[in-house]
Amino acid sequence: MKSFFVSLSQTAVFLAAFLSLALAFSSCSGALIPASGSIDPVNAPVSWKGAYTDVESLTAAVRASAVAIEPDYGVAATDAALPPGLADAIAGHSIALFGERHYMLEHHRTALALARELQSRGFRALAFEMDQAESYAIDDYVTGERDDLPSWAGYIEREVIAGFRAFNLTLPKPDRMHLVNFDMNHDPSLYSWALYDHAAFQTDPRVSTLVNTHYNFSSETYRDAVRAIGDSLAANERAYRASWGDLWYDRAVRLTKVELASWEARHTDSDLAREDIIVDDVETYVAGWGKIIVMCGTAHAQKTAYYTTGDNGGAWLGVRLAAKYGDALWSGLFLPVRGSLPNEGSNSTCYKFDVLQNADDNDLIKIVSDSYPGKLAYLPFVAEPFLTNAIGIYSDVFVPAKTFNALILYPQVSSISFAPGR
Amino acid sequence: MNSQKVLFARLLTRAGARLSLYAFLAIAFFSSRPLSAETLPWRVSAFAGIPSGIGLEVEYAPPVRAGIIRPAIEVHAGMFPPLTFTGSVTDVSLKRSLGLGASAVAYFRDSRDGPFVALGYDYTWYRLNADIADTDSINPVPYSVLGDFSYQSVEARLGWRWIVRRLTISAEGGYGIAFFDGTIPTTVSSDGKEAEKTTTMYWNESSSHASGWVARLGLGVAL
Repeated sequence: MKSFFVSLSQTAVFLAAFLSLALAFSSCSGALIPASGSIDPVNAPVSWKGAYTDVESLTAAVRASAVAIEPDYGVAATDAALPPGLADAIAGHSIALFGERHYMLEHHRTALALARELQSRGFRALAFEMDQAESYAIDDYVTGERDDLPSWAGYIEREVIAGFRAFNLTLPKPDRMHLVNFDMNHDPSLYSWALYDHAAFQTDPRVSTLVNTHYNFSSETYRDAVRAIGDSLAANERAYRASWGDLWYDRAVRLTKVELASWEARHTDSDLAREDIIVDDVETYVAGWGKIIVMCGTAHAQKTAYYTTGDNGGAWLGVRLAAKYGDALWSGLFLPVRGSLPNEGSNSTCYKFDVLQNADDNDLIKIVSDSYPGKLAYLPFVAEPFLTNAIGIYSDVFVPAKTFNALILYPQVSSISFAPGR
Repeated sequence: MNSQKVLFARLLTRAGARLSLYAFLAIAFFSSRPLSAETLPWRVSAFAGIPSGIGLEVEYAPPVRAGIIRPAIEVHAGMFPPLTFTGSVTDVSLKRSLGLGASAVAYFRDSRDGPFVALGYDYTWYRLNADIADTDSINPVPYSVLGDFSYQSVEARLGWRWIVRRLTISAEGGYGIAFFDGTIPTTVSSDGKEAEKTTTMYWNESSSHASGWVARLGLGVAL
């Protein structure tokens, strides 16, 4: 009996060790090897792509054109400062794109400051690159049309949303700034939440069925259910308008159109289909409000493509708007030097970065940062060498003035505070 | 996809059951044999494990005791075959590696086999390579990045060593903590050009330390 238990315990130890080893080798999850690690991207020197190498000339050009101010850390969001000249440079245009890195607190605060400044110059909307389905709840809240902000809405800094609403409430209703989203719905559940958020929709059997059915959002069954709502909206327009009113009928149509297009983009993993949605959203806002500020990723803001992604072939938002609206478009590059930002769009762990760690001497970010250490710098691309020369910026190489109108460089950035549950 | 998962799970279950049976029979066989380790203090084994990879270990179990403990010392060297880790941005290949380590081992039998506990130290070095196609650029410039990463780790292990005549089999597992400097010098090269750059290695989101399971299986001879 004793030898039986010895054999049993030996077997247990052997199997435990064997299974640990097998698990460690097969998935590497939890094993003491760095397979679960990551390495910061290492870029090739920008001069290998033909970047301008005359550091002295670049430095002199930066000092001649740039304006730098102390960053506004620690002040209320409503007191965030704008670099002198920035609002004036934008005011003469109809569409102002800001290429940024997402979930950056300093960027959201600057967006609020810009909205407050540009409202008096005819701008009527600020758009963030976030799921379109969240749009109406946020907009209605900041324009004073509703007093509650749903918990499911919001990848925008709450202090900024509060500041936006407070600012709007000082204005007559027709002059208020709208705060809207544009982009495909990455989160498919937002569509039904957005529909269900409006009381009139809750009594519609198709909407309540959509909300109460546990769909596999990637399934064609779900797509067909959304499509059925779209068909019903089209077939019964008069009845719906009479029941819901024009505003909410139009919103339901828009929500459904974007969700159907989003399903296709999610299903095909197409970057071009996603960009189509983004462009359609922004052009809809331009048609509705005339002058708008658009906050988007740096890639979307480029007016001349210097890189592509997936199947989009470089047909970015900025490229397409530049072709359609010409000089009415202004595009700025809003970049951080160092800081900490979320790994994903949520309350996930932040990663630290310092772009100067690997920056080449002729990289414009390094030159601006070294010229104005610790300062918030605004550099309009209005003189040589920025007009005709390829310059290294953030390890990419392009002619600045053809791609963006200006660079806004923030010395230190941090993450926004996400809404609960995000 | 679900049917594939179910099939995979069944295969695993069958393989696991078969493996358990073989292991049980092997252990029952070994346990029935006389133990002769006391006259065979050297154990030379090939091993496969984490963090040192595949390699060779040598253990010396002198005929001394400290209370109930029969001490031994162990040293090992190993390396991983070329591997590719799938990264979120780009794949990283492990071109070469070397793991060196030593452990203080405590047996509890006069025969210096059976259950043991060990405290170990490992130095592990990797040569990492990433080939960047740069295909997203309008004017792509493909390049390669080569860098060395190393870490030191300490671990506590539990194990069992079977010795039958001159054949020795060991199985052990435990938990370790690794310490490293996440700043890695790298060499970037493209079309005959080279440049030196640094990068930061994050392991479980830290650039200085990490922890995880360690395990090793060994097969060898006692001398």
